[in-house]
Amino acid sequence: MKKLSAILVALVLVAATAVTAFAAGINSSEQAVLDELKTSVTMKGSDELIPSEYVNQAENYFNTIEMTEEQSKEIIAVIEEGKTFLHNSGASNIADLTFDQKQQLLALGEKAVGVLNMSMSYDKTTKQLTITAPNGDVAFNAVPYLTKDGKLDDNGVIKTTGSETNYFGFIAVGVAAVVLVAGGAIYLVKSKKERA
Amino acid sequence: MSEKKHRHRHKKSDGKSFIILPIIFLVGTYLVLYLAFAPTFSTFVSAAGMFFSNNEKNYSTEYKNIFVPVSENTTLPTVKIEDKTYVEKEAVEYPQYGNQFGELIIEDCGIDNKLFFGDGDIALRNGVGIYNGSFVPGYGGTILVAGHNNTFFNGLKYAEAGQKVVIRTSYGNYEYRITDTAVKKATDKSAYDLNADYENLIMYTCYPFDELGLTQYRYFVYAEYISGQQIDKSVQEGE
Amino acid sequence: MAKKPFRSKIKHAVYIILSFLLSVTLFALSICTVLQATIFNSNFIMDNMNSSNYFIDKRDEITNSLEDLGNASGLKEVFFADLLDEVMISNNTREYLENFYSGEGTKIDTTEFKQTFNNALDKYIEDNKIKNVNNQNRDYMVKKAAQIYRSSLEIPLFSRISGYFISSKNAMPFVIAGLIVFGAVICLILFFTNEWKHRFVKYICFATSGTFLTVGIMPALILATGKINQINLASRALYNLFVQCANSICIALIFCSLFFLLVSIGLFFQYRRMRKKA
Repeated sequence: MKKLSAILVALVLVAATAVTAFAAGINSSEQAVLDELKTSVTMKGSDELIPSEYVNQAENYFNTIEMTEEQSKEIIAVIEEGKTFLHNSGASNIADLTFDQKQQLLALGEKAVGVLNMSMSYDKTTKQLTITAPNGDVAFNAVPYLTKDGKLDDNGVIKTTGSETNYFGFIAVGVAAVVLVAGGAIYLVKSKKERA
Repeated sequence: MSEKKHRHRHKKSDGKSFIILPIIFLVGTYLVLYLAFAPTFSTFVSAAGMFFSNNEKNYSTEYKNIFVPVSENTTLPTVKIEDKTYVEKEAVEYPQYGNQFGELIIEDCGIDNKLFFGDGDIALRNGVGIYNGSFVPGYGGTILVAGHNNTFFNGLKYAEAGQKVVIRTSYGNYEYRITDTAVKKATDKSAYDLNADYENLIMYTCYPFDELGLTQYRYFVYAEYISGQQIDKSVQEGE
Repeated sequence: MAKKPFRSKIKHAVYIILSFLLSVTLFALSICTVLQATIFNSNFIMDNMNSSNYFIDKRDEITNSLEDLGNASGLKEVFFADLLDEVMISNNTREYLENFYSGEGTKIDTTEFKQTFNNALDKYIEDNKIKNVNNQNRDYMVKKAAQIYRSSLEIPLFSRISGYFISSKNAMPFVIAGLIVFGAVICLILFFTNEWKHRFVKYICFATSGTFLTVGIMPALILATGKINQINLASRALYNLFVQCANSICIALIFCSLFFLLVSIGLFFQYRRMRKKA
């Protein structure tokens, strides 16, 4: 009888461990981020949305991880910051942003994905933005832009423009160095003469 | 005496200067550089992290296979929500981009391929792939599957309404029935709805078949959901 | 009596500032010299391409991408097996780099590639007796193949930085000359205004040891953290090339830094010797 109960216990244990539990599904923290991604941003008076395919990519990735509430709050704060930035940018879509503004937006994106230890890269030839999971797997891969109806639109790709180089910093440092050397030299020569 | 004292003091401070001053110069130089470069390069510097990842890039063309076939009568843990039974989400290993997580079979077309999550180059070199902006079988959305017309989806040319499509995954087997086929331009957004709130399968490949040359047309095969346990999608309370 | 130490303090401060400026100048000079010898030198990239197996890796990468195109357009893998050779890739890349360095644009010439592809295609159609060929679709495929070839050989950001690169490259010899003159002026001031020459040696020593640290710390940090190896580049050939070039630049900077360390040690002992004599 004892033997039988031992076998039964062993069987139950084996059955319990046979079904592996995976960190899966969407938790409320992840849902909050998805909801935030689905809300629109007002640019030049019109409401713009992230294409739903891109939100789906996020949902698929969230199904493979467990996001904590703090991470969720941090990400939502960055997304909101990004929305305010887009709203105040004066552009009507991501493609219309200036080069500097695009860099700032990418930096915000990097901050957001950084919360989950992910990294971002942009391929100029394909104009695709890739977000990579900490293990190196691709989590998101698409041309970033916004649409009015949440559907893909072929025209909204990021266009790369040049930026004006600001030489002021170099010139200021150069001038300061020359002034310092000249001033120092005058002072030292003068004091040497005084001493003589 | 006072001169001696003076020299001694200098000697002591001189020794330290050879260590302290270079360090001050180091800090000073980078401060000057920062002040000089910040206005021009601040945006570049802030985005510079984008060019680097946390790990070394993996250039391997190998893929991870998480597919473990389940037989028809295998019972996976389920939950009951509003009279409907769902596969427990903890029992589902949700695939990551590039994973082989199942098989796609259309017997009537001679198709029996590995099914990947993500339709990147490596996936399409080895089988057919689900676009990662659509969903996996059992998730209750659109499943958009791509394959090359000269290799794994060449058999789609035999697709006809009424034929059975089977997708096997580690968390269950799914059956669909072909309802329609259509030739559309690759840029035609009406060819698919990735927002659908019902399960449907769309497979596509380049068109025409068996012709030399590249085209802008795609052959779409539409299928409706017949059977297979749906995955529990209820939102669990936060961590 | 009280005025003298104050004046001496000011003088000492002025000398320290001049040493600091000399240190910054030597730092800038080191960076500019290393840049001039490396990325502003077209042979540097070409040499690194040869030694990092760039052309062989590139050939394999382009062949893989073309095979994917073939899978979608009716061409079997065997067609691509001997289609590309490193010589054509190497010639096109050399031409591309020469144009880039001379400021004549950043375009990859695909004429030879298209010709090779079309010739191979004609032979393939004839050998396999293929009848089902739509000329429009064939042209579209060749165009796509040329696009793959061109984008594979292009170096990311080259077209974007081209303007800045050329103006920096042209200005570099003048910048180096300017820095040498500026450094020499500081040295002369330090030499002629110091009655005791051991002090001149001391201030130069401060500057060179400062330069040793400023030049050395960045490459040391970069090499120690292994950040270079974490660059996100889709092409393996380009990744190997980047890592090799970046490592070479870092090592060149470390050598510069070590040079300044040796000079500093020499100056330190010279200072002590001279001071004893004084």
